[in-house]
Amino acid sequence: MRLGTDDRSAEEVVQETMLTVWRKAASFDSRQAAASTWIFTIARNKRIDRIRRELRPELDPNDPVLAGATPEAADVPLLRRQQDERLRAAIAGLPEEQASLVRLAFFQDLSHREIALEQSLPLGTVKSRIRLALLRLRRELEDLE
Amino acid sequence: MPRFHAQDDVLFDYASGSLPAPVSLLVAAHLSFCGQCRDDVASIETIGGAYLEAIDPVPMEAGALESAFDRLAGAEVETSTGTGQNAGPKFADGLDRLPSPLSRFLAARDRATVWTRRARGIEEIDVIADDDRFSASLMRIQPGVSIPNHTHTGRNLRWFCKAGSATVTSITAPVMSATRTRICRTCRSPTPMRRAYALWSPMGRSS
Repeated sequence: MRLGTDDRSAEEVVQETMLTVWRKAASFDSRQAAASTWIFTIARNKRIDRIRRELRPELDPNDPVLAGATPEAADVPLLRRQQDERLRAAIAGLPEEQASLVRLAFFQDLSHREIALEQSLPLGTVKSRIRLALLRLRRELEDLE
Repeated sequence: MPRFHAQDDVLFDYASGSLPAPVSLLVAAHLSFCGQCRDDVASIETIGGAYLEAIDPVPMEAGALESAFDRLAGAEVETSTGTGQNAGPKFADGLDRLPSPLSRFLAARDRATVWTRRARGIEEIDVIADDDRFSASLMRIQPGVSIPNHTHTGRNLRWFCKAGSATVTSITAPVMSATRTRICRTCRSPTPMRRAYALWSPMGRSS
Protein backbone atom coordinates (compact mmCIF):
# COMPACT_ATOMS: atom_id res chain seq x y z
CA MET A 1 0.00 0.00 0.00
CA ARG A 2 1.73 3.11 -1.22
CA LEU A 3 -0.78 5.80 -0.31
CA GLY A 4 0.83 8.37 -2.54
CA THR A 5 3.96 8.70 -0.47
CA ASP A 6 7.52 7.72 -1.36
CA ASP A 7 8.92 4.31 -0.40
CA ARG A 8 10.52 5.45 2.84
CA SER A 9 7.37 7.24 3.97
CA ALA A 10 5.15 4.35 2.93
CA GLU A 11 7.26 1.99 5.10
CA GLU A 12 6.96 4.40 7.96
CA VAL A 13 3.19 4.72 7.51
CA VAL A 14 2.79 0.94 7.51
CA GLN A 15 4.85 0.65 10.69
CA GLU A 16 2.92 3.39 12.43
CA THR A 17 -0.34 1.82 11.32
CA MET A 18 0.68 -1.55 12.75
CA LEU A 19 1.72 0.12 15.96
CA THR A 20 -1.58 1.95 16.28
CA VAL A 21 -3.58 -1.18 15.48
CA TRP A 22 -1.76 -2.88 18.33
CA ARG A 23 -2.13 -0.03 20.79
CA LYS A 24 -5.78 0.58 20.06
CA ALA A 25 -6.88 -3.00 19.54
CA ALA A 26 -8.75 -2.93 22.85
CA SER A 27 -10.95 -0.05 21.71
CA PHE A 28 -11.80 -1.59 18.35
CA ASP A 29 -15.51 -2.34 18.25
CA SER A 30 -16.45 -4.95 15.69
CA ARG A 31 -20.09 -3.86 15.91
CA GLN A 32 -19.13 -0.45 14.58
CA ALA A 33 -16.97 -1.49 11.68
CA ALA A 34 -15.17 -4.37 10.07
CA ALA A 35 -11.50 -4.72 11.03
CA SER A 36 -10.48 -3.89 7.48
CA THR A 37 -12.46 -0.65 7.63
CA TRP A 38 -10.83 0.27 10.90
CA ILE A 39 -7.33 -0.42 9.59
CA PHE A 40 -8.09 1.49 6.41
CA THR A 41 -9.02 4.61 8.40
CA ILE A 42 -5.94 4.31 10.63
CA ALA A 43 -3.63 3.99 7.61
CA ARG A 44 -5.34 6.92 5.91
CA ASN A 45 -4.98 9.11 9.00
CA LYS A 46 -1.32 8.16 9.48
CA ARG A 47 -0.62 9.09 5.91
CA ILE A 48 -2.38 12.44 6.20
CA ASP A 49 -0.53 13.17 9.44
CA ARG A 50 2.74 12.42 7.71
CA ILE A 51 2.06 14.83 4.87
CA ARG A 52 0.52 17.65 6.87
CA ARG A 53 2.27 17.51 10.21
CA GLU A 54 -0.52 19.64 11.56
CA LEU A 55 -4.04 19.16 12.78
CA ARG A 56 -6.16 16.85 10.71
CA PRO A 57 -9.78 17.87 10.22
CA GLU A 58 -11.61 14.91 11.57
CA LEU A 59 -15.10 14.17 12.68
CA ASP A 60 -15.29 13.33 16.38
CA PRO A 61 -17.93 10.61 16.71
CA ASN A 62 -18.31 11.53 20.38
CA ASP A 63 -18.75 15.26 19.76
CA PRO A 64 -21.59 16.48 21.98
CA VAL A 65 -22.86 18.75 19.20
CA LEU A 66 -23.24 15.83 16.80
CA ALA A 67 -26.62 15.93 15.14
CA GLY A 68 -28.47 13.80 12.63
CA ALA A 69 -29.51 10.22 12.98
CA THR A 70 -26.91 7.53 13.15
CA PRO A 71 -28.29 4.08 12.52
CA GLU A 72 -27.91 1.37 15.11
CA ALA A 73 -24.74 -0.61 14.70
CA ALA A 74 -25.54 -3.99 13.21
CA ASP A 75 -24.38 -6.49 15.75
CA VAL A 76 -24.33 -9.39 13.39
CA PRO A 77 -20.89 -10.87 12.82
CA LEU A 78 -22.21 -13.50 10.42
CA LEU A 79 -23.95 -10.90 8.27
CA ARG A 80 -20.78 -8.83 8.36
CA ARG A 81 -18.71 -11.78 7.13
CA GLN A 82 -21.12 -12.51 4.32
CA GLN A 83 -21.13 -8.85 3.44
CA ASP A 84 -17.31 -8.79 3.30
CA GLU A 85 -17.30 -11.75 0.96
CA ARG A 86 -19.91 -10.22 -1.29
CA LEU A 87 -18.07 -6.92 -1.27
CA ARG A 88 -14.83 -8.59 -2.28
CA ALA A 89 -16.57 -10.50 -5.04
CA ALA A 90 -18.17 -7.27 -6.26
CA ILE A 91 -14.78 -5.52 -6.26
CA ALA A 92 -13.30 -8.34 -8.30
CA GLY A 93 -16.19 -8.06 -10.71
CA LEU A 94 -15.88 -4.33 -11.41
CA PRO A 95 -15.02 -3.34 -14.98
CA GLU A 96 -11.32 -2.48 -15.11
CA GLU A 97 -11.96 1.08 -16.26
CA GLN A 98 -13.84 1.67 -13.01
CA ALA A 99 -11.69 -0.48 -10.75
CA SER A 100 -8.44 1.21 -11.76
CA LEU A 101 -9.80 4.67 -10.97
CA VAL A 102 -11.14 3.59 -7.59
CA ARG A 103 -7.72 2.12 -6.77
CA LEU A 104 -6.05 5.41 -7.68
CA ALA A 105 -8.54 7.34 -5.59
CA PHE A 106 -8.05 5.17 -2.52
CA PHE A 107 -4.37 4.46 -2.58
CA GLN A 108 -2.52 7.13 -4.53
CA ASP A 109 -3.65 10.11 -2.52
CA LEU A 110 -5.27 11.61 -5.60
CA SER A 111 -8.46 13.61 -5.61
CA HIS A 112 -10.95 13.15 -8.44
CA ARG A 113 -9.53 16.24 -10.05
CA GLU A 114 -5.95 15.03 -9.85
CA ILE A 115 -6.90 11.63 -11.25
CA ALA A 116 -8.54 13.35 -14.21
CA LEU A 117 -5.34 15.29 -14.87
CA GLU A 118 -3.08 12.27 -14.46
CA GLN A 119 -5.21 9.97 -16.60
CA SER A 120 -6.00 12.64 -19.20
CA LEU A 121 -9.69 11.98 -18.71
CA PRO A 122 -12.45 14.56 -18.39
CA LEU A 123 -13.34 15.19 -14.74
CA GLY A 124 -16.93 14.16 -15.47
CA THR A 125 -15.75 10.77 -16.73
CA VAL A 126 -13.68 10.17 -13.60
CA LYS A 127 -16.60 11.16 -11.39
CA SER A 128 -19.12 9.00 -13.19
CA ARG A 129 -16.90 5.89 -13.31
CA ILE A 130 -16.12 6.11 -9.62
CA ARG A 131 -19.76 6.84 -8.84
CA LEU A 132 -20.87 3.78 -10.81
CA ALA A 133 -18.36 1.62 -8.98
CA LEU A 134 -19.50 2.96 -5.60
CA LEU A 135 -23.16 2.42 -6.44
CA ARG A 136 -22.40 -1.16 -7.34
CA LEU A 137 -20.34 -1.79 -4.20
CA ARG A 138 -22.76 -0.01 -1.88
CA ARG A 139 -25.48 -2.36 -2.98
CA GLU A 140 -23.59 -5.07 -1.12
CA LEU A 141 -23.64 -2.99 2.05
CA GLU A 142 -27.30 -2.16 2.05
CA ASP A 143 -28.57 -5.32 3.68
CA LEU A 144 -26.84 -4.33 6.88
CA GLU A 145 -28.28 -0.87 7.08
CA MET B 1 -31.03 16.93 8.91
CA PRO B 2 -29.44 19.55 6.66
CA ARG B 3 -31.17 20.31 3.43
CA PHE B 4 -27.96 20.18 1.45
CA HIS B 5 -25.43 17.45 1.21
CA ALA B 6 -21.89 17.13 0.09
CA GLN B 7 -21.43 15.61 -3.32
CA ASP B 8 -20.36 12.00 -3.66
CA ASP B 9 -16.94 12.75 -5.08
CA VAL B 10 -16.22 15.20 -2.27
CA LEU B 11 -17.18 12.63 0.36
CA PHE B 12 -15.03 10.06 -1.41
CA ASP B 13 -12.02 12.39 -1.45
CA TYR B 14 -12.66 13.12 2.22
CA ALA B 15 -12.86 9.41 3.09
CA SER B 16 -9.72 8.58 1.12
CA GLY B 17 -7.88 11.49 2.69
CA SER B 18 -7.07 13.45 -0.45
CA LEU B 19 -8.88 16.72 0.20
CA PRO B 20 -6.84 19.81 1.04
CA ALA B 21 -7.09 20.55 4.78
CA PRO B 22 -9.41 23.58 4.50
CA VAL B 23 -11.92 21.68 2.36
CA SER B 24 -11.59 18.63 4.54
CA LEU B 25 -12.46 20.84 7.51
CA LEU B 26 -15.65 22.00 5.80
CA VAL B 27 -16.66 18.42 5.15
CA ALA B 28 -15.85 17.34 8.71
CA ALA B 29 -17.95 20.23 10.06
CA HIS B 30 -20.82 19.26 7.80
CA LEU B 31 -20.56 15.63 8.90
CA SER B 32 -21.01 16.73 12.50
CA PHE B 33 -24.55 17.77 11.61
CA CYS B 34 -25.45 15.30 8.90
CA GLY B 35 -26.11 11.66 9.65
CA GLN B 36 -26.72 10.87 6.03
CA CYS B 37 -23.31 12.06 4.87
CA ARG B 38 -21.71 10.32 7.86
CA ASP B 39 -23.28 7.08 6.68
CA ASP B 40 -21.99 7.71 3.18
CA VAL B 41 -18.46 8.27 4.45
CA ALA B 42 -18.70 5.13 6.60
CA SER B 43 -19.71 3.06 3.60
CA ILE B 44 -16.84 4.45 1.53
CA GLU B 45 -14.45 3.56 4.35
CA THR B 46 -15.87 0.05 4.44
CA ILE B 47 -15.28 -0.25 0.72
CA GLY B 48 -11.76 1.15 1.21
CA GLY B 49 -11.10 -1.54 3.80
CA ALA B 50 -12.30 -4.26 1.45
CA TYR B 51 -10.09 -2.79 -1.28
CA LEU B 52 -7.17 -2.83 1.11
CA GLU B 53 -7.64 -6.56 1.51
CA ALA B 54 -8.00 -7.01 -2.22
CA ILE B 55 -4.86 -5.24 -3.45
CA ASP B 56 -1.61 -7.08 -3.99
CA PRO B 57 0.81 -6.90 -1.09
CA VAL B 58 4.06 -4.99 -1.59
CA PRO B 59 7.19 -6.37 0.10
CA MET B 60 8.47 -4.33 3.00
CA GLU B 61 12.13 -3.54 3.58
CA ALA B 62 14.28 -6.22 5.21
CA GLY B 63 13.98 -5.96 8.97
CA ALA B 64 10.67 -4.14 8.88
CA LEU B 65 8.96 -6.75 11.02
CA GLU B 66 11.74 -6.77 13.63
CA SER B 67 11.67 -3.02 13.71
CA ALA B 68 7.91 -3.00 14.23
CA PHE B 69 8.24 -5.53 17.04
CA ASP B 70 10.92 -3.38 18.65
CA ARG B 71 8.62 -0.40 18.62
CA LEU B 72 5.76 -2.51 19.92
CA ALA B 73 7.84 -3.54 22.90
CA GLY B 74 7.85 0.04 24.14
CA ALA B 75 4.28 0.81 23.19
CA GLU B 76 1.51 1.17 25.67
CA VAL B 77 -1.88 -0.31 25.10
CA GLU B 78 -4.62 2.25 24.79
CA THR B 79 -8.10 1.46 25.89
CA SER B 80 -9.85 4.78 25.59
CA THR B 81 -11.80 5.83 22.54
CA GLY B 82 -12.55 9.42 21.53
CA THR B 83 -12.74 11.93 24.32
CA GLY B 84 -16.00 13.60 23.47
CA GLN B 85 -14.34 16.77 24.74
CA ASN B 86 -15.16 19.84 22.74
CA ALA B 87 -12.64 22.28 24.09
CA GLY B 88 -12.93 25.00 21.53
CA PRO B 89 -13.15 28.70 22.23
CA LYS B 90 -16.40 29.99 23.64
CA PHE B 91 -18.02 33.01 22.11
CA ALA B 92 -20.16 35.35 24.12
CA ASP B 93 -22.91 35.39 21.52
CA GLY B 94 -23.92 31.80 21.73
CA LEU B 95 -21.61 30.33 19.15
CA ASP B 96 -20.30 27.94 21.72
CA ARG B 97 -21.40 24.77 20.09
CA LEU B 98 -19.13 24.61 17.12
CA PRO B 99 -18.50 21.19 15.68
CA SER B 100 -15.38 19.70 17.22
CA PRO B 101 -13.24 19.71 14.03
CA LEU B 102 -13.73 23.47 13.75
CA SER B 103 -13.23 24.26 17.42
CA ARG B 104 -10.04 22.21 17.47
CA PHE B 105 -8.66 24.25 14.60
CA LEU B 106 -9.70 27.51 16.23
CA ALA B 107 -8.16 26.47 19.53
CA ALA B 108 -4.89 25.54 17.81
CA ARG B 109 -4.40 28.89 16.13
CA ASP B 110 -1.54 30.84 17.58
CA ARG B 111 -3.39 34.10 17.10
CA ALA B 112 -6.14 35.17 19.40
CA THR B 113 -9.63 34.27 18.28
CA VAL B 114 -10.88 37.74 17.47
CA TRP B 115 -13.38 38.71 14.83
CA THR B 116 -12.00 40.97 12.15
CA ARG B 117 -14.46 43.32 10.51
CA ARG B 118 -14.60 42.76 6.76
CA ALA B 119 -17.59 44.83 5.76
CA ARG B 120 -20.69 46.21 7.35
CA GLY B 121 -22.25 43.39 9.33
CA ILE B 122 -19.60 40.89 8.29
CA GLU B 123 -16.77 39.70 10.47
CA GLU B 124 -14.26 36.99 9.85
CA ILE B 125 -11.75 34.73 11.57
CA ASP B 126 -9.14 32.96 9.49
CA VAL B 127 -9.17 29.31 10.42
CA ILE B 128 -6.65 27.80 8.04
CA ALA B 129 -4.80 30.17 5.80
CA ASP B 130 -1.57 28.40 5.07
CA ASP B 131 -2.58 26.17 2.22
CA ASP B 132 -1.44 27.08 -1.30
CA ARG B 133 -4.77 26.93 -2.98
CA PHE B 134 -7.41 26.80 -0.31
CA SER B 135 -8.12 28.56 2.89
CA ALA B 136 -10.96 28.33 5.35
CA SER B 137 -12.42 31.09 7.41
CA LEU B 138 -15.38 31.49 9.69
CA MET B 139 -17.64 34.45 9.01
CA ARG B 140 -20.22 36.02 11.23
CA ILE B 141 -22.94 37.72 9.30
CA GLN B 142 -25.46 39.99 11.00
CA PRO B 143 -29.18 39.50 10.41
CA GLY B 144 -30.32 40.74 7.03
CA VAL B 145 -26.85 41.24 5.62
CA SER B 146 -26.26 39.41 2.36
CA ILE B 147 -23.48 36.95 1.88
CA PRO B 148 -20.51 38.77 0.33
CA ASN B 149 -20.19 38.85 -3.42
CA HIS B 150 -18.89 35.65 -4.84
CA THR B 151 -19.04 33.66 -8.01
CA HIS B 152 -19.92 30.04 -8.46
CA THR B 153 -17.35 29.05 -11.02
CA GLY B 154 -13.59 28.99 -10.95
CA ARG B 155 -12.84 30.90 -7.79
CA ASN B 156 -15.56 29.19 -5.95
CA LEU B 157 -16.78 29.45 -2.41
CA ARG B 158 -17.69 26.44 -0.44
CA TRP B 159 -19.31 27.02 2.81
CA PHE B 160 -20.96 25.61 5.81
CA CYS B 161 -23.50 27.69 7.54
CA LYS B 162 -24.84 27.76 11.05
CA ALA B 163 -27.50 30.06 12.32
CA GLY B 164 -27.85 30.51 16.04
CA SER B 165 -26.87 27.77 18.42
CA ALA B 166 -30.18 26.01 18.76
CA THR B 167 -31.26 25.51 15.18
CA VAL B 168 -28.58 24.15 13.01
CA THR B 169 -28.66 24.51 9.30
CA SER B 170 -25.69 23.36 7.42
CA ILE B 171 -24.94 23.72 3.81
CA THR B 172 -22.08 22.14 2.10
CA ALA B 173 -21.62 23.58 -1.29
CA PRO B 174 -20.24 21.33 -3.97
CA VAL B 175 -16.49 21.61 -3.86
CA MET B 176 -15.39 20.76 -7.32
CA SER B 177 -18.23 21.95 -9.43
CA ALA B 178 -20.82 24.64 -9.31
CA THR B 179 -24.50 23.98 -9.02
CA ARG B 180 -25.78 27.45 -9.33
CA THR B 181 -29.31 27.11 -8.09
CA ARG B 182 -28.41 25.25 -4.96
CA ILE B 183 -26.02 27.80 -3.59
CA CYS B 184 -27.80 30.87 -4.88
CA ARG B 185 -31.04 30.04 -3.19
CA THR B 186 -29.18 30.14 0.08
CA CYS B 187 -27.16 33.21 -0.77
CA ARG B 188 -30.24 35.27 -1.35
CA SER B 189 -31.83 34.60 1.97
CA PRO B 190 -29.19 34.41 4.64
CA THR B 191 -31.40 33.74 7.62
CA PRO B 192 -33.07 37.14 8.06
CA MET B 193 -33.83 36.78 11.76
CA ARG B 194 -30.64 35.35 13.13
CA ARG B 195 -26.99 35.92 12.77
CA ALA B 196 -25.54 33.53 10.27
CA TYR B 197 -22.23 31.83 10.57
CA ALA B 198 -20.51 30.60 7.50
CA LEU B 199 -17.41 28.48 7.34
CA TRP B 200 -16.06 28.92 3.93
CA SER B 201 -13.16 28.00 1.85
CA PRO B 202 -12.50 30.12 -1.20
CA MET B 203 -10.39 28.36 -3.76
CA GLY B 204 -7.55 30.58 -4.83
CA ARG B 205 -6.52 29.19 -8.17
CA SER B 206 -8.25 26.34 -9.85
CA SER B 207 -5.77 23.78 -11.09
